[in-house]
Amino acid sequence: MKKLYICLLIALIGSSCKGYLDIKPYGRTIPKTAEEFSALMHKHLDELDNGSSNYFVGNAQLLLQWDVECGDDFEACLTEPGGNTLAIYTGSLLNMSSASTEYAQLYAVIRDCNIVLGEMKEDGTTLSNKVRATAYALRAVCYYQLLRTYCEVPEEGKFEEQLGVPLVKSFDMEERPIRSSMQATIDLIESDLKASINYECTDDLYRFTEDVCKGYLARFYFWTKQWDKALTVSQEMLKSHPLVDADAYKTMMQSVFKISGNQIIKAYRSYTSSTSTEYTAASNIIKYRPVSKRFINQFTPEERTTDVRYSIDINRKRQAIKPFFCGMRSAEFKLMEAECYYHLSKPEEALASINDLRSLRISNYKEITMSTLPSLNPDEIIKVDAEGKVLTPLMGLILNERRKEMFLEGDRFFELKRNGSPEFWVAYNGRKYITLKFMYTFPLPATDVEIVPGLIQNTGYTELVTN
Amino acid sequence: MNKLKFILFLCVCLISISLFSQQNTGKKNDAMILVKVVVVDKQGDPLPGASVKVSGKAQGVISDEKGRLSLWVDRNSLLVFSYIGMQQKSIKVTKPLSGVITLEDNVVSLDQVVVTGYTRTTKRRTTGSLTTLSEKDLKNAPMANIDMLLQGKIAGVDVKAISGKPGETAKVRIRGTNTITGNAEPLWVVDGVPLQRDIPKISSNQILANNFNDIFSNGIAGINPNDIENVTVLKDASAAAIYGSRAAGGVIVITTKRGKEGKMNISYSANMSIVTSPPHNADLMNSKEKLAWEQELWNEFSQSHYANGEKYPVVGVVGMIRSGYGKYKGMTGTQQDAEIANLGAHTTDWFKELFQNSISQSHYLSFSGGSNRSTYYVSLGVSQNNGLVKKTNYDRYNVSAKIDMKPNDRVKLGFTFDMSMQKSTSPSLNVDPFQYAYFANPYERPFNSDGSYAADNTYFALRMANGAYDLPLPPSGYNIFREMDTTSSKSKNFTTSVIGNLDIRMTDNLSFEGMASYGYVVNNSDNINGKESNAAWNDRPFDSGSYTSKRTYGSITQASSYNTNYNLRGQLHYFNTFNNDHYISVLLGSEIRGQYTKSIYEKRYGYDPVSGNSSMPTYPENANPSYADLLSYASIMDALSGQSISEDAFASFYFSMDYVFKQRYVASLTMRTDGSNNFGSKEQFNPTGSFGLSWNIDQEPFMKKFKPIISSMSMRTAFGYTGNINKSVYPQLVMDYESTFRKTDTDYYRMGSIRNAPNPRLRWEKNRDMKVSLDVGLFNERIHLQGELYDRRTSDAVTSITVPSTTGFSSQSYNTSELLNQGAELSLSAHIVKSSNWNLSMSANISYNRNKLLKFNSPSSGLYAGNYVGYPLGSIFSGKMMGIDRKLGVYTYQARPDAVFSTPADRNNADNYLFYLGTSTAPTNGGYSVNLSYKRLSVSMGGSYSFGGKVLKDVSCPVSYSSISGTVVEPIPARINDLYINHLNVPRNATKHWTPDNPITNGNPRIIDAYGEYLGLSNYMVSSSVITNASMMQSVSYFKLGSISLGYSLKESWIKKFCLSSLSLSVTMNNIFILTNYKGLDPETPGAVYPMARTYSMGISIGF
Repeated sequence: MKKLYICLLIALIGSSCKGYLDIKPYGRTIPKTAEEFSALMHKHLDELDNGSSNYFVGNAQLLLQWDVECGDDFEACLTEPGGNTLAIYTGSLLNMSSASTEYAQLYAVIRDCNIVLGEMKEDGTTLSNKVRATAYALRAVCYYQLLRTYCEVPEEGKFEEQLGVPLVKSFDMEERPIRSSMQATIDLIESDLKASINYECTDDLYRFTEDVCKGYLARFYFWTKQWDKALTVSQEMLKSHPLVDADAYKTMMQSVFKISGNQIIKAYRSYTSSTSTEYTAASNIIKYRPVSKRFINQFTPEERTTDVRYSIDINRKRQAIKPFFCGMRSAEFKLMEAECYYHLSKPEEALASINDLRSLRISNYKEITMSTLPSLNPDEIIKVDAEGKVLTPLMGLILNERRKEMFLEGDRFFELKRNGSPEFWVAYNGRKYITLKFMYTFPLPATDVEIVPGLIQNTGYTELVTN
Repeated sequence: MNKLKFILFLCVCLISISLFSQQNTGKKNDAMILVKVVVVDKQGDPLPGASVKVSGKAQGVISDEKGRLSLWVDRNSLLVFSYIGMQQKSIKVTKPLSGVITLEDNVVSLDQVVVTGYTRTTKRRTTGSLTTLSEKDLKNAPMANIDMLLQGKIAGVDVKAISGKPGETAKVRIRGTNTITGNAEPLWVVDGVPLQRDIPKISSNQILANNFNDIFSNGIAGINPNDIENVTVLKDASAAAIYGSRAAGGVIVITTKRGKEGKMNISYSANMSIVTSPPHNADLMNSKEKLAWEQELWNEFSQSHYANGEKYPVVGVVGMIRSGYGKYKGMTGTQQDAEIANLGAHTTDWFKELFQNSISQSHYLSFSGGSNRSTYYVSLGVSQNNGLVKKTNYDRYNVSAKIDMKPNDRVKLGFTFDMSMQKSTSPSLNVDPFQYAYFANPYERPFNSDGSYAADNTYFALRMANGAYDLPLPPSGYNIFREMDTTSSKSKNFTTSVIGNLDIRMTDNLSFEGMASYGYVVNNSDNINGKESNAAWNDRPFDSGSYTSKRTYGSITQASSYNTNYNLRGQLHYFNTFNNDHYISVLLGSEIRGQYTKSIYEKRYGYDPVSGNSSMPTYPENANPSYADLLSYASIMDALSGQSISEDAFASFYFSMDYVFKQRYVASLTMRTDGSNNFGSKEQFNPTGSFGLSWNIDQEPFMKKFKPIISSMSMRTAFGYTGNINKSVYPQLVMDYESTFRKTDTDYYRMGSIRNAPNPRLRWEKNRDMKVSLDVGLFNERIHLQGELYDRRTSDAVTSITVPSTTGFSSQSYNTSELLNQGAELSLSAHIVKSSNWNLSMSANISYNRNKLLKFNSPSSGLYAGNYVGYPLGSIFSGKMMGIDRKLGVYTYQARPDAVFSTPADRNNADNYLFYLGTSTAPTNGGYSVNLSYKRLSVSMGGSYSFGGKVLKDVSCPVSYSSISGTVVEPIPARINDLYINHLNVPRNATKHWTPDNPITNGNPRIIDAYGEYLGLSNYMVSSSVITNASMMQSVSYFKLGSISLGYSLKESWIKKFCLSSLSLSVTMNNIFILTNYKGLDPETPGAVYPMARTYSMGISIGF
């Protein structure tokens, strides 16, 4: 008997522990196959579908931030008590935590894209192509959002001098990148979008299809003032996704969850109650801050009955009633087309584009001609256009039309930023809150600036007070 | 000390008087012989006061100052010579006896057997720091679990209750905390088997935090204290290194009772305890005081604004009445006064309402005995512990059976079979009852006059009454008793374990020792939220966020977990003595252990407790569910059930060698290496080890002359490494699958996320431990002193450090930090009086531990969670309060000497006021005990103390100005300045406060309405809570009398008539009083938590 035990003991000592001590993960994996990596993308696509916090396409809460809190379409000074959790103006959002959340969240998505692009084998299967296409697109979209929020407005000819964002192209925990030039950021966005387009992904399951990437390409060219390129892509998009008439427009905009009409991508496609709180809370709270008189005045008294947008945007109590739309739809391209034409010195074509759009929104529409251009609205705080030139009545018309069309779609703040970043103030509780020029560019997270040597903070945020 | 000896001598003489008197009655005849001897010790020194007794007779005599004694005794009688601290000597006299009788030292008491889990050795042969408590040291708290029984008993072992909830595990730290993010609990070892009884936690977005009862998640509570023979705590590396990777937090080895040779011994003991409210109270306002206070606040802050139709604060019921809120709408002034007077007529003492005096009991029955070939021990235990809070209880049932066999001289077999069942029941409250008892207004009532539940009109009303929107309460309002009656959380834990031991003595000096254990744990928990409860009202997935729906449905959450664990060990043990002087003991072994745990859980809405079935609610009839709603429905369903699995495996090899030369010099070496499945292949095996030296100075020849004074003296020093696995992080890039899926019409897709930043360089946390100790026994071990100094440095401690957002993570875990624990321990035990009638012994211990963070990368800028290089873990950084500023009415704080003030922003900058104020972990801890016995009566008392601990946030009020969302006009410096906390109950002293008209500085500071007037205080002083929290800092130092017990054992001759061999009775009181400056309920468990109850117990113990 004792021999047996001695043998057992020797066997125990001698036996290899290799298999015995392997990590035994349950409900987790060290991803290797395309299917496993696709789970990372599905996670983000699901965030988009159910509208939970995502910063690449946005959700109702983000629209509240950009339109209701930062923009000038709503009247902070008339906020009812129920809405007093809403920030008063952009400055209220610039404290460390809320301004840097978006930055960190976008880089977290970029990280997953980098893991997919770097660690997943490129084996040419359909699945791996789709996953790669999604990763490229998602990465580009994230960098585009970073560019709009954390970089100054691109100035033509100064892309090399202006600051971009830190560029991370592969997953590496040790990397401490500093800010790239704006040119490098722009190049990466462009090449990523094109890389995604090259996969010709049309599977709607992956949301960022070829069409969507083209739409983003148009947006991106437009933001970086590459008017001719923006024009070409916009027109291509308009061809594949034509504008719809007033009735169809109404149906489309009222469709909260289902993708409809010429909508190309949108959040809330599989809205569930677990995420509904966000949407419900946003629709509840928006009632407490009325739409500003300045915005309402963009519609002429006549248009308030004839323009379909007025009826779906605002009710009699000046409450915004337009369903939150976070995504992309054709009208944006029409407006881009108009503005591109304008900057490319083709005012007639620009006016024609605007007339096209207006004719589909206003019943019994009478076209505007160069001679019947409405005069500039003195209440409008945008005084210069994207090129820094003084507004002309035509440019004023284009911007005015964009403001109405894109109401509550997260556009107005960036319109302000793009067109001269005007300073303006709101009154609240007896105090004056001024949106200063530097506030259009959000600060990089303070911790990043502290721990990454050489990382340059945006202007206006260089002093850090811990409290 | 000579005095002491003299006193002892006197005592002995007193006893001898009676003996002498008996001696004189003896007759001298032929059958008698004379005994005339001198009693001496080993050195030949005479022993004055030594006694001799004739066995079986009431005859005896005491030696004189030269050790001489003489007496006549019957021929062939048996004489017993004895002297305190010496071995008894029996001599049968057949002829007259003369000459010298030498008594040997009683060495047994000097050399205690120590069980380390791997070996049995003696204290004189170890180099480690270990303390052994025997069964009788653990007797003073009949209803406590084993961890709380250790409180205050051992220097360097800090045991603090987390709460007084029955069955709750305590926090145990041995020589400080030496990990930052890992598990700092010691390793518990029962009969050689490390406890591995983890129950996995459950997470799902439909299972709320209080839906899962995890009270039994670590298995310590299942041990029956009555079964324990002794507990050995291994404190340093030399003692614990043999446990390797889990020994960093120290090791507690429990040895349970086993059978002894002899006829069957049956013993029964029972205890009955009355659990009553804790000794301390919080001094809160009564109804009249609170109403008057609310009125004062109304006058000061609201009245004029209300009259002018401006925004005004509504605080307390007076505010609600005066402003005509809700049901008070339209009242006239007189009606209002009448309503307030009516409320003031009654005071509810919520503590009294919620606490109960309950009766708890425990019973223990054991059978043991055996022959020289086999012994057995069987025990049964029942303990029913009713809590201080109504409807909370904890029951434990134990069955244990042990058989030891010696089939032949070379083989020993042992089997242990253990079974325990634990049950815990409590209401499932989402409002902590202690928080509620503390803050609920005294004018609220628990019940209406008709006996129905009365709604609490104020506890949740602050938001609504001040115009903010809030989810409504159920139509019948909130009542904590309704919650207690309609919700329940039950947890049942069933543990079985089987241990088999085998010893084979292969040669006289070599043996094989094998051990195999298998354990199985089942844990079931049921959480029921009755339909009427507020918990159910808040948990309505189909009506969430609804302001209009009044529909309620109950729910049940059930979780069933099991854990299987095993431990297999084989070791060779060689020991031999060479040339009388060299003793060597070598141990070589290997072991594997592991555990596998799995939980399955489900939640059902619409639960019907009568039939046990459930009726799943759906969307209301008129909801017209859309596709999105259906998706929601499906996602709710998906999250209602799931599983959770984890698996651990360890493989280890160990070696230890002890060498003893001439009983004087001891050297020991321990080495161990562990592999764990938590790491990848590279950092797999972690070598740990220790080397220790011990010098038994008293064995030196030159110490001989000090023998009468210094009976033992040992000096020990050791150096070693132990390790700790931090299981919160992985070295690889691991993707966690989400519990939910991405759904489309046709299919569903797995979703994954990378939760933790991978770190390929992750490795074990290491502890380097050094110590030096001195043990001195004086006057034959009547006084024992032990002092120890240690220094342990933890390196490679895992902490998360901030990484730039561009990595996609905010932090990453690294082995970066270093920690230092240095300390001193002193224990003293003294057997002051030792006579046949009187016995008095005392013991006390004190330990000081200095914890310091040597290296730390903060995950955020500045201070993070009290961790800062150069300061202890849990250090408190805040402002130094300078009292109330007469002009401003708020606390001012001392400026740092390096602060520069040039702008208002500087005056407001927290950095300019930051000081280190202390630590939340008390550095000085200890305990004491006193035992006094006279004949069969004994009194013992004991307790613990703790000095230097502080708490920063104390009891935090559930409401504040931030409960009412809005734009703050005047920032509130400290919570004590906040007007809105007065909505709920406050301590009596709140009324004495600074006002502009009465600027007192010896009371509370001014009260500020955050939404009222702009005062601009932040231009003058700091308003950051980091600094102003200092005003809420309290010291939690205390000195506690933990227990007093009185015992009496009946005379054998009396009980023999009832066929009993022993009968003793005891009365014990626990948590008797506490000396502290702390203002709350219990400084040991600060804050609004379940306090430690005061208990009165009566016990009986019978032997058959």
